[in-house]
Amino acid sequence: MSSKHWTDRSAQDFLYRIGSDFVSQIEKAMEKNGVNQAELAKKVGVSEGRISQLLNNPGNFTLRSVVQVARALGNKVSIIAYDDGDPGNRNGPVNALIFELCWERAGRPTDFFAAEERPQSAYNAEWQDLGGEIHGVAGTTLRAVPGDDPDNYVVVYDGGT
Amino acid sequence: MPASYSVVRVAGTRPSERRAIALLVCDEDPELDAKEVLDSLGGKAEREVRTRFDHWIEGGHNDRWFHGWPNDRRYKECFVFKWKEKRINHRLYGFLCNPRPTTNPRLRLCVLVSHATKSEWETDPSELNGAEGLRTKAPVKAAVASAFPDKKKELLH
Repeated sequence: MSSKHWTDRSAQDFLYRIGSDFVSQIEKAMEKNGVNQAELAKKVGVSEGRISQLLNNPGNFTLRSVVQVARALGNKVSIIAYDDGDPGNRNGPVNALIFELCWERAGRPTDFFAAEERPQSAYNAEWQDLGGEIHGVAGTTLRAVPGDDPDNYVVVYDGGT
Repeated sequence: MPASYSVVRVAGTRPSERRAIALLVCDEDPELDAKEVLDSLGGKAEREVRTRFDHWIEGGHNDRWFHGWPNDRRYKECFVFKWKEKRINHRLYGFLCNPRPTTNPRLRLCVLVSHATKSEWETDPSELNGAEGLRTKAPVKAAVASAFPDKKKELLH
């Protein structure tokens, strides 16, 4: 095998790998919702055997079945084409869970306006107690707070005499 | 004549500074069958195992796919990859190590050594004893070091 990732061998290999990422997400959603395969089959409107086939062989998924299974669990699906700087596919696909993690950390934006605004939770998470004190001024604490420009912070001190 | 070991990387996996998977090979020891078994896989089973390799290499967690025994003092460096084919539970056992402590202290290498099928809940201790024994064996350590040299970059003057 060359130095390329195994998913570069064929579209079927690539499909299997990303289908497997999808199955991992579905199994997580099933566990979260307390849904077993029989119940999922009923929600989707197919036989339990068909659900088992899909979950056990991710290469069997079609776009339609991806949507049906995700929606049956109250989830949505997006299709993303991305450039990870690896056109030769040496590294394989980026795991779908990574995209989900990034979306969560960005505050789960659902439109471009929200995507461009930094969510308050991100500000709060990035407030830092810098510890220490201004030299020679007892009782001060240093904090980094967000300024008008979301990419810059203002260092302020509290207290002191 | 002493057995001669070699370590080969699993081809087609993602290059990573953090994790890698390799196979221990020894012509004189038929118990070391991990490479033979992996090479014999095809179709869905091969894709399934490779997908699980990928997930471990990229830092994922899934106890149904792979795990170690971090809380067992005897086997805390042992590792296993799991899959099922035609209702048979398959296992690839191996050990974890870092062959590059100087140049890459964060690297975790999984060296797979043997294959087994599993029908009982408990893991067969002979597989883990085998993997652990090989991990500490000098010729095996040398083979790992040869495949994953720990070279410092030369300083340019």
